[in-house]
Amino acid sequence: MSILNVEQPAVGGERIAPKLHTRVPSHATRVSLLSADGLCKSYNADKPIFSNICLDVKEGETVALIGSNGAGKSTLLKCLIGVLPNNGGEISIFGSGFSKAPSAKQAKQIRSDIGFVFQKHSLVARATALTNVVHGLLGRPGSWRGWHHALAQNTWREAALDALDSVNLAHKANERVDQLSGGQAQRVAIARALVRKPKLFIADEPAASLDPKSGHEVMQRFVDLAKKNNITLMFTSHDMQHALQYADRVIALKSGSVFLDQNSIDLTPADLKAVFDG
Amino acid sequence: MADHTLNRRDNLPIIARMGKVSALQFTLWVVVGAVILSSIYAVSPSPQRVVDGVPRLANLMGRMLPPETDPQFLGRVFWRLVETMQIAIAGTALGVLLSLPIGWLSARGISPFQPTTFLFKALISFFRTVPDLVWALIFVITVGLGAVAGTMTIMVDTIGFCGRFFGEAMEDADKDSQQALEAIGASKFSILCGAVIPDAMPSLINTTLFALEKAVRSSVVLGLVGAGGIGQELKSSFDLFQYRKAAAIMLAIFLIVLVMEWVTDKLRRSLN
Ligand SMILES: Nc1ncnc2c1ncn2[C@@H]1O[C@H](COP(=O)(O)OP(=O)(O)OP(=O)(O)O)[C@@H](O)[C@H]1O
Ligand SMILES: [Mg+2]
Repeated sequence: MSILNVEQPAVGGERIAPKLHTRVPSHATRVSLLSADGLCKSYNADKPIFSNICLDVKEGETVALIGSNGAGKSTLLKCLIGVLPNNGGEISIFGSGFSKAPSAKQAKQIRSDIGFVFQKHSLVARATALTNVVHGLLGRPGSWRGWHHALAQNTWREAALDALDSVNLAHKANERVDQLSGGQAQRVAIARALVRKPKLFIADEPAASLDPKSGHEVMQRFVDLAKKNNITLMFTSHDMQHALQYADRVIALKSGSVFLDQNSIDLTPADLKAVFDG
Repeated sequence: MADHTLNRRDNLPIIARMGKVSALQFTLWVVVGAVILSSIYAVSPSPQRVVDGVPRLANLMGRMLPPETDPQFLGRVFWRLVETMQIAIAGTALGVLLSLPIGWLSARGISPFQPTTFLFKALISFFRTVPDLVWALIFVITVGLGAVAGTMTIMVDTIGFCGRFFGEAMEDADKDSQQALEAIGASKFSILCGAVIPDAMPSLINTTLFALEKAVRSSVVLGLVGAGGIGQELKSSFDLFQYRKAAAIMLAIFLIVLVMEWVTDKLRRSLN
């Protein structure tokens, strides 16, 4: 039915086993999709959140961003996609570079290629799952038709249904979001990001507030979809298992700088523990 | 933990002082008491006047009973009641329609023109604080006697009421979903229609039903100043000392308001 369709992942028994997708051992040959060079950010002049951050995310890569509470993960994500202005450094995203903040035109361009998933699912609770997914198309021209699924043209509705189907929720399309479980709602949020056909997924703690089983289910589906559609994925998580299991690479923030940036296959839980010590 | 104990100790003197009345508080109480007592003295009925009023009330009641039942008169009352309802419904509908954009423009954080929200808030307050009978007088002068003036009055009154509560409902709507749509690149208007209104919908409907109830009650008295509806009939029967007719009209008004409150109550219940 759908190009985005993926099989139900085997959740549960597979948790600690190696990842389902084939890992590309070296990203050196791939095109850079998002990079930062010497990035600095402070909300108020005296106290920088981070400084001199350098990182490089390749096309199709899945990167986990970890760090303790207040380390600046959310801030970094927002700076990288130009939602927050930075205080120094260069950012290059989708081949267009900016320092400080992107121009309005650039920002629009960048946003149109990004699918966001927020920590709290941030859906319109009283609207149906389908309407919420159609909302993902609101930035497009003629976008008033995205207010409600009944107003949207058939192609939009089909795209939204496809996206819902790919998170295995097509049967819940006409149910209101406030009647779904937390995990189902988070999957609707993923569908809303997916329907945008983004080049880059940015997910700030997509599995927070989910129980361990739903958390794995959501992460697994997210990663599968990203791999299947060659979407680059950058997510933050407080669950080290998620970082090791679902990401190709782990970047850790500590004391305002990059503490660790390694392929997850080379990492052990003990390495990650050091991120939170001291 | 440490913070907690510290706070408790810091609060102890405050707790100890509670229950004592400061000099300022005492003065305030005296002033409030004086205002109330002097008001009662100035405008409340003296016992003598109340006593004198009783036989007159009894006399009036006697002249009101039994209420008029002449079919031709009742027919006229019926059509006046229909007009009253039409004024209430049309005025509320127009008022609610206008309250949506005005409420939106007055909502902080939601309106597309943030610096001017206070202007719309002020406009709504103005509509609300001028009493409906005063609006009716103004419209009777500007658009002439009759139902149109009544409809305009109810409309303005509804904007004063719904504009405020619509604006507040929009300000209280869930912020997370709005931010998500903003990040997607949706316009302020799309955010309003896609996220704010769906979230505020129960509150909007509730407010609208209250507005309708309020409109029925005030459309009844608008006729007293010539703005159409049943009130006109009531006033003329009082003016002509036709108290039995007045009694019939008052009963009819009582019934219609009761029915209306019952209907809106049912609707509210079925929504919640
Ligand atoms: N809008 C803001 N204004 C001022 N300071 C802020 C703002 N947002 C975040 N901060 C500060 O920046 C620091 C980093 O916050 P950030 O939200 O990026 O951390 P985080 O790593 O995402 O934390 P968490 O794991 O709790 O989500 C914190 O100390 C926070 O207090
Ligand atoms: Mg965060």
